[in-house]
Amino acid sequence: MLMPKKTKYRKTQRGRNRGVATRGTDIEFGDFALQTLENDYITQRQIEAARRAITRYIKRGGKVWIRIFPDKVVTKIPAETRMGKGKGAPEYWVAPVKRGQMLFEIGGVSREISKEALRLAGYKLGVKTKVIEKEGLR
Amino acid sequence: MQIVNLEVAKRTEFGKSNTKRIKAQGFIPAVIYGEKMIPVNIIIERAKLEAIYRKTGKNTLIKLLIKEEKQTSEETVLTHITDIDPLSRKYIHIDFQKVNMKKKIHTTIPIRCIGEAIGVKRGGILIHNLDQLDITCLPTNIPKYVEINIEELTIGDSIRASELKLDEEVELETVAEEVVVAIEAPKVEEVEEATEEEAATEEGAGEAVAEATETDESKKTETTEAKGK
Repeated sequence: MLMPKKTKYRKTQRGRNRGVATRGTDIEFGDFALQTLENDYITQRQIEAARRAITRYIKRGGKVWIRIFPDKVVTKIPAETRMGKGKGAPEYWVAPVKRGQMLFEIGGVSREISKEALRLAGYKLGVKTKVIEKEGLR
Repeated sequence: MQIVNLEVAKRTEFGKSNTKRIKAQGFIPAVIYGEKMIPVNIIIERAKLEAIYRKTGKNTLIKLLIKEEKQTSEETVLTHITDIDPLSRKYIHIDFQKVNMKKKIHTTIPIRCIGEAIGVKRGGILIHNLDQLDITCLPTNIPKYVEINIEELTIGDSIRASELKLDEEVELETVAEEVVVAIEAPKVEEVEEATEEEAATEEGAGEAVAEATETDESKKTETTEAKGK
């Protein structure tokens, strides 16, 4: 699963994730892309599940680009613990995404296969998504 | 090269609320700028502009007939920048650049591949490294697109920018060694093995998270926290 090799600090503050994406909103590498329509965190497991769904569907051939990286750590306090005593331990990694951001791109396979693979990948994520086609392909 | 006529109106209303209203009425705000001219703000009918782009591409010379209150002026322009709404994928603003028909300009043209490569038939993956080519030429000589015949490419082959056939009047600005298209060997995903390993990985995920974050800085923070408690 995707995660940073090393980080400067073990834990991060949550921050806020508002507005529309202004970067990463165009198809840069492939011919088709999966775009998020919501602002949310996408976990490393969701990214991996979506990637597997794509590679499993396109079988051999084609190339997949993952446009997001889970570089934010989420901590969790153990169950049945009293409040206080500091922040919990790091639990998993997430990629905060804003609506409009491209998540995955596919190239080198047919239109039908690309669209279906991305549609299936969309079900693995916790956000609403849309399949986008590169301008001027038709 | 074909020149398309397009009627536009001079923009008189500015500001956020007016712009929203203009867009809701089916117009796109735009600006024309160029050498020795004061920038002019205009509005264009969305449907007409999109029809031009669909038919002839973005690299079309457009003769804008700008309607004002009493007079009509003309400007021959090229599309310079298009702003697209990331969600609706509609144009939200266009920058047109006035062109001097006797002066060479720098622009980009799309690249189109013809045929199916031998390498792709054998299971290779066609990678489009470049979609557009930077060129310099007179506005009248701008080609609509560049065609590449990829039929003879096998796995491992590639075509570089210098190998593309352009007209004599067109100068290539893209780095000559840049790879335009390549056929890569397929990477076989070990899906089945990965599924078996999945359970093991998930169990160890929590530990891995902790391990990945260990740095000198974090250790220091930990010790200070411990002292505080």
